[in-house]
Amino acid sequence: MSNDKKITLTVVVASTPIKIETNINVPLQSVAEKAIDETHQAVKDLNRWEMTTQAGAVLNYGTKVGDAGLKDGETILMNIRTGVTG
Amino acid sequence: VATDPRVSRKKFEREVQLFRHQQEQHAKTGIWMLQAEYPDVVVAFATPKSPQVFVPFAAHIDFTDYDALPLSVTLVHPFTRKPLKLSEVLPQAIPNFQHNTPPRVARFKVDPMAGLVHDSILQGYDNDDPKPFLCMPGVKAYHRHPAHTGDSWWLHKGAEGSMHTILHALWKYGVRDIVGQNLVFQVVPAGYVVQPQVEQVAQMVLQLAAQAAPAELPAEGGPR
Repeated sequence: MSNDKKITLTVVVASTPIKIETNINVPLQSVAEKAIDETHQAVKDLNRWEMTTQAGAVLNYGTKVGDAGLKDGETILMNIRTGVTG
Repeated sequence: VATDPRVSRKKFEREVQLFRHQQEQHAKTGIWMLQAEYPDVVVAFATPKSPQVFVPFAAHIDFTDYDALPLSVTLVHPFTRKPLKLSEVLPQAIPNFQHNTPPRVARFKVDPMAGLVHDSILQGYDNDDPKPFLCMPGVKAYHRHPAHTGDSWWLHKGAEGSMHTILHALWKYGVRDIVGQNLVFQVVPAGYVVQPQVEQVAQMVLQLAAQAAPAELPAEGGPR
């Protein structure tokens, strides 16, 4: 792994920010799992979380960090998918 | 008292601090904290995508007894802070979408059988209902409702029942996808109504139209 492929993202997990060092070639799933783990979230199931850019575009967990267009220092958000019932 | 007020206050301070840490980002998306004085938080929601900005509602969040009990959430007028009737929240109906009570704070989706459907988070018996409530896990009114007694708050306590998640849901389903307004003139009764254009709905209608379109096209080589 060369250093130029490493980037650091700020992931805001349910309002708690955490810096995650990652590689542009790994899928976002890895970033999401680390962020959930390091912010000690009780909800571990990724399907219950939605990852988005700050602009609100939904990010797919299968997409590689680089392919998602994420740059070093960028902030992304993770929020619980609301269980709308009505 | 279900929770020692000192504990509730600590949790209030932590959640308000977390909100303020992201305040710049929240402001850009139309989420404005108007008041934060224990046990009350008032947050206004504005439409981030529409050229003319609307502020359809604010939310009053009461941290009393949090978090042995969930947060109490009431939609209020952003200026007067009075609770809003169901009819006083901007509806998200679209033309030809029949509802006795137009959906407000709702999620639209395409159902394979029923077509375009919605889940309303804001529930009320009719338009004049003085106490509409947010029907989502993590909100006190939801867990106190007879229909949800089997869904304990303790299953949702934590991130799902946090102020952040509730604010995010209100933003996502209440204002995020409103991109403008349509003026719909009605002959009977006289007058007009203002309906917000909901981007999510418009996209789904186009998607449904695209799915239906191939069946209406003449077969290749057939009559034109």
